[in-house]
Amino acid sequence: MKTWLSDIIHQANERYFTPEEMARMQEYFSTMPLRLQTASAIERADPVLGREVLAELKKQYPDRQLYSRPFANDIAALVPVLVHAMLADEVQFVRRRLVDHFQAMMTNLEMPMTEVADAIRVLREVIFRRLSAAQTSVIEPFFNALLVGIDPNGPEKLAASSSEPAHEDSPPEVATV
Amino acid sequence: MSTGEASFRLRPGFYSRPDFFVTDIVKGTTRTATGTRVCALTNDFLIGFRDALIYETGKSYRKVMKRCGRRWGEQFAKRFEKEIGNYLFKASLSELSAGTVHTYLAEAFNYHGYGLLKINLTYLEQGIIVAELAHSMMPSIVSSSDRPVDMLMAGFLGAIFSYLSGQDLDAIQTACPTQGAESSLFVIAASPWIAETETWLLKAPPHTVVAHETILKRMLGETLPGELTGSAPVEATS
Repeated sequence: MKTWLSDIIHQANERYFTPEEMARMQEYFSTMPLRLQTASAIERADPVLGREVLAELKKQYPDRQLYSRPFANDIAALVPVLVHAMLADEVQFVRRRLVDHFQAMMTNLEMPMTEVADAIRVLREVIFRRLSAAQTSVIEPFFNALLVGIDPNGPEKLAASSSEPAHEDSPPEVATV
Repeated sequence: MSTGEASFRLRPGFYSRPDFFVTDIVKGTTRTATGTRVCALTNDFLIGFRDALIYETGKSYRKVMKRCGRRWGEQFAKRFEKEIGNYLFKASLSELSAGTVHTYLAEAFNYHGYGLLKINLTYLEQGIIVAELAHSMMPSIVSSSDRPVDMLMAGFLGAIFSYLSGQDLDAIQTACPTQGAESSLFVIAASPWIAETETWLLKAPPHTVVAHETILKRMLGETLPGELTGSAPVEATS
């Protein structure tokens, strides 16, 4: 999967970068220390994420049968993909690896998208408790991209439109069965 | 395949992982994430392969092509089990729900460049699966034909669904872009049933397109055996 950065390098090929390309890269590289700090903070929380997410889900949604330990662990296992997307500042990572796949999976299994989206919101809450405001600001757009993708009518719709990563791309192509 | 949701796992997509196809330029090889070596086949190769088969085997080329697809599908199904069942879920495919398997199968098609696969289970209770494949390879290189041309994929799908179901299944292409359809349609059912349907279709007048719905209705017993209705003449041949 290509990123906007690899695209710029491929397109430049044997010429120098344009001012617009240079500006985009400078803007990105200036945020790298914060992105790396955020990734480290999230990684430190990793060993307890599954357990904390499950406890919070049971507390907020005691009647939902879907929320089991394996389910909570799977929800927590989404975090590395979101972190990679944040480090690369590439929302396509979220769309291709998570949104497209989940849309197809939930359609085929007739899964309630709202319940999955609510679990991801809980995961977001658990992680954001451990992050500073600045750290939250760099990871939040990727959570929003995921949530808007699987729950288009959810409350993240407006937030996503204002905090979408600078690099926009084409709409997701859904693998449908 | 199980029809329950017990095996539902919310994992990231497997085929969209960044390292799914990795090219080692020192060795000159491309491998998948599970180590299977792959290579790209160009349209030139596929056209040459098809032309050579027609030259060497004459009218039998359709059967040979389908047999090639079947052998390919058998190998692909084993690799699919290794990738999805063993590697991703630590379970056999038969333990996973049908929806999970179909999701990953469609994604495997997407990422390998085989086309956009949709599986319709409406007639599953009657023993029929309908598969739709958009942007398939063979129809894209044959401009027009008086008969469906995707025998390779028919054999391929028959083998995959045989493997997934544990039954002897086969597939027949019932709509083809070379005959004006938007995408390829395949009917997958028990092998003897498909063989009988293929024999019936051979009786169709030359340059006649037998509609997918006509074939499906006949298989579902909604038309009299031997009846060939809903046909439309075609001009182009190949």
